[in-house]
Amino acid sequence: MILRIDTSSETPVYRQIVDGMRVALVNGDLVPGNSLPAVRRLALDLGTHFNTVAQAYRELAREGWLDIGARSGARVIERRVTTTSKPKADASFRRRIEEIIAQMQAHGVTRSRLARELRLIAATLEDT
Amino acid sequence: MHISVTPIWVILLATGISLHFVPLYTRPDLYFGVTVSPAFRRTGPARLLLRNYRVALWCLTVGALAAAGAFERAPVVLGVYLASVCATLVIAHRGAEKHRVDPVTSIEVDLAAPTERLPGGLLAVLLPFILLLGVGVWSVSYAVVAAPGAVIMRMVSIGLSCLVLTAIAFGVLHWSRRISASGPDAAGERSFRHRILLCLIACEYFLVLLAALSVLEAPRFVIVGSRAAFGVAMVAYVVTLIRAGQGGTRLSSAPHETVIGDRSPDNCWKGGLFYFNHRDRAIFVEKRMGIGYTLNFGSLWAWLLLGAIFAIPSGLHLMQPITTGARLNAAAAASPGTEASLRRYIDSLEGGHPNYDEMSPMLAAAVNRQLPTIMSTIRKLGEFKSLTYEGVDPNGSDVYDAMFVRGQLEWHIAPLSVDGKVTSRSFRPLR
Repeated sequence: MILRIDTSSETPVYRQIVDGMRVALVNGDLVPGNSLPAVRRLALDLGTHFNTVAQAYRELAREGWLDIGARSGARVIERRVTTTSKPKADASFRRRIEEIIAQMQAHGVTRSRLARELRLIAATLEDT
Repeated sequence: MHISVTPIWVILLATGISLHFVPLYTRPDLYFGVTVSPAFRRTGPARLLLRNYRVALWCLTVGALAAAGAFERAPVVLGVYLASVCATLVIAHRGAEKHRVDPVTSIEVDLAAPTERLPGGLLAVLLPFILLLGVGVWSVSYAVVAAPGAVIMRMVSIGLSCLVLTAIAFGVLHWSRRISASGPDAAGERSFRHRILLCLIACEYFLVLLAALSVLEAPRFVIVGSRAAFGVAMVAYVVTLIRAGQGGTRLSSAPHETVIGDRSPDNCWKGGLFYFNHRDRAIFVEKRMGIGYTLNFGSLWAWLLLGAIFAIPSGLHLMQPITTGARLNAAAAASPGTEASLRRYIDSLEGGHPNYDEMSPMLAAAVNRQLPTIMSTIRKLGEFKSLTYEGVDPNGSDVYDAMFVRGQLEWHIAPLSVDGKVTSRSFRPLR
């Protein structure tokens, strides 16, 4: 499973690690029982600080994806998913989508193109 | 002018030949330590840079060979030659900087990459130390050698050298950056690292083997043969490393389209040779010219490792007088009977038949093994003239200076045992 980050991106490296890993976890590329690289190893390969990777691991552990052991490192665990959608979580989700849309518009992406991309994503979600 | 093949000639020639090829043994998107387009090395400007570098290199090599023949100061010639070659590389590096391109900013890491370990595990790393300790303890405890202090020094020196090699192996494994994330390049990189680690561990075992052969006083041809065999094996090994290439990409005929580089910033490479980046957590980084790894001089750990490498020989040099007994207690009186015993022993050697009956069984066995060397030394020095007491060394042995017609020997002899036997005795030439 390949994790990609872009050092020239405006998104912080820590956020890119969390997002990249979350995508892999949701898609099933990383399954319960998988071990993740040690914090130092990953930080060295990404050319970033240890704390950046440690922060990303902690956030994923807080979300329930990882178990961080003192000696065994980070391991993917079975996550208990809450099926009922909370209004607060929905609002947060909508706000993030709006933020991303605004960011893309600021970069010159047209509204119609954004709508097309969102429809494609929605169609993919409904198919899977 | 008399010209003879000496080691300095061999060193200069070997260095010239290896440096001739060094600029080519880099990743395809690196040229003279600068990140360039993978296609650049096939262009006219790149070929011109290489040609100019090689012309300068061989002018310097021929000049150094001539200087080595004319002057006898080999270290000076070698030092000036290496400094000049470095300057040539730096000039070529500056020439290549005009063609620098920015590498891609996206970094890939394989989260499921197999965990790499030292070949043979912890046991393979610890075994040389255990063997070394065993050889040292056995040789000193059973009086296999006449000078235990020197043996202890040698064992400590080799043990520390093995420790440094282990630290380097550990550093390459855990404190170096992986460049390729997947595919044949990543596999090639892993294979290359594995070979480097094997090489380092093999060097540790060879050092221990040499120590054991030396302590056991193996015939000279065995020691020379072992060194020659190891040298040939290392040369063959380096050839396989070059062929494998770091990351499996260095000699690739079909380089990548994208410029990946080695994921270290160009501006942190001084002259394309030395890497200084205090923000980079890697202690070892891939060399930009040649194969293998170099230190990140921006890291404190790298300096500590370098310090250890230089401190070991210096420390051992400072300790030498203590262990070899050069610091004598001149005021202490000689142990009863040692002078007379030594005189009788030297007389017996001049007669060609050592007085084994005055030695402990262990010492007699050691003298019997070393007899050809001892007799050769005594015969070269000529007739024995006088014996002078100098003092007592830190091991408690009496020290005497024996004058011969053509030289002088320093003898160390332990106090005689209760039955009047000699248990430990050694000598070293003074001039």
